[in-house]
Amino acid sequence: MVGELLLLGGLGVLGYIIWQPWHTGIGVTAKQADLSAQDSARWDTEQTAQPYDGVVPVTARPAKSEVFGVLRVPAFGTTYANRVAEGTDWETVLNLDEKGIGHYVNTQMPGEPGNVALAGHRSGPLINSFREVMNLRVGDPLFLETADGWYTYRFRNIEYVLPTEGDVLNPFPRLDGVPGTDQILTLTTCHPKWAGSDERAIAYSVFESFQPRADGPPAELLELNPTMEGHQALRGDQEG
Amino acid sequence: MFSLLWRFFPGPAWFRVIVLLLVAAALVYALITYVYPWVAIEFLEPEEVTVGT
Repeated sequence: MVGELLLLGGLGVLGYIIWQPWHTGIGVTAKQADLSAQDSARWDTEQTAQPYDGVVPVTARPAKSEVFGVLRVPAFGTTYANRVAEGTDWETVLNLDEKGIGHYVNTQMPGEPGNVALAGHRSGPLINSFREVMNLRVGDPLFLETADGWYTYRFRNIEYVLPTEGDVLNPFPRLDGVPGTDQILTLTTCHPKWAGSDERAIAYSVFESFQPRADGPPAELLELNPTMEGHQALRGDQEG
Repeated sequence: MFSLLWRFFPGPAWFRVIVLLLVAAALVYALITYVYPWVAIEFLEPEEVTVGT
């Protein structure tokens, strides 16, 4: 009797071990791709984009925990797309299936000189937005889409720091009191993966170009992510 | 316990096998939709990812 109960309990735990990677790796990832496509379509129809006159627009500062962007990184997976929300609060942004990536409120917005710093989980049972951060290679593109259009960044380098080293969020990362002239995109996540969070992995990218919404997604993104045609992620039954 | 379960449902052996398989499927469904997500949120903490806080 006891043996049989233990056997069932063991099967239950085994089931969890199988379920969790399936849930975070397939379930949540598909949900994010879907929600991101919906956001793109919504921004296309709403036409709230600021008029483009050759000057890269600065994204309007969103309300706390509001979704204002979608991050697409082909190095994280060709169809990878994840929504970006304001703030790095666990309960309202980082732990939620439908958000996952948070923008540090004390850092700059896309289009501003300085640092756009984002945080996301790399492992764990909930959502793993930055799971593949180690896949980034120098020169890999990162596309941050907002209502205004697409900001393209190029990955430059990654470093490991202690959690106390908040100067990675500076407008000029690592230098105090220096106004940033470049536009930097900084990803912060935990390190080592799956083994505690004594350190942080910090990935820096540099702004390269902006493409207004009227011109559609950047050609490079369409090439790297074939599902981006028509701004929407196509599903199997829509391909033709 | 397994013998109790076997005796709990009436009917011929082939029918019991089908019923027990259905029960097992319902159990797995309940685990995936309710139990595992609850365990993930309640008992397992994700790692800290922010700096300077």
